[in-house]
Amino acid sequence: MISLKKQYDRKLFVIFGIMFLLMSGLISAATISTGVFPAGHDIMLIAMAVMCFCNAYLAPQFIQNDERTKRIKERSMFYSYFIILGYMIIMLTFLQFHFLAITAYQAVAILAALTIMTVFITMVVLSKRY
Amino acid sequence: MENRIKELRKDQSISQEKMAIKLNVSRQTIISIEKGKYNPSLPLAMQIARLFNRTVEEVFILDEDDME
Repeated sequence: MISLKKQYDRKLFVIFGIMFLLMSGLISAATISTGVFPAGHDIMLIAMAVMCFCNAYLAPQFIQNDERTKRIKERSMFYSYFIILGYMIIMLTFLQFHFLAITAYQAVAILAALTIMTVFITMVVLSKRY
Repeated sequence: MENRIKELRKDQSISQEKMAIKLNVSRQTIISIEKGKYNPSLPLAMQIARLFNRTVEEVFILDEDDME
């Protein structure tokens, strides 16, 4: 019964991941061809695809919320905090010296997408380590 | 930290899946503990020792490296 539930969870995440990947591919192609990439929402869709694929890998382990899972989550939040701070410093520098000319919406969308991707990729890396 | 879980588990014919269900953890957690990649908490270590009817010291071996 438990193993069936695990397989079901993994499949569902893979299906959603492919769906998000196709949607992001379509929207990114449209934004690139019109010269407005990154529009904001296109990057968010890529982040959602990454999140779904990471969850597909993590779901069988994370379904049982045991002490190892809690440790992976705790450590991933700790490392992600510093990585996200790094993104912010880089982004602030780029914006300050006008290396990047993006709107506030784009900046927030990029940061949100990077945050989502960083947290989940860190969890995958740490689940390999622990 | 090294441990004798794999050896004890094979002696008592307990699969990783069965052990995980008994300890209420995921199978991946058992694999990580066996490989020495993850050190369990004291309550979990005591539960593992109790499962094999051994003491914690008989299951887990403290290395010189762990003392540093």
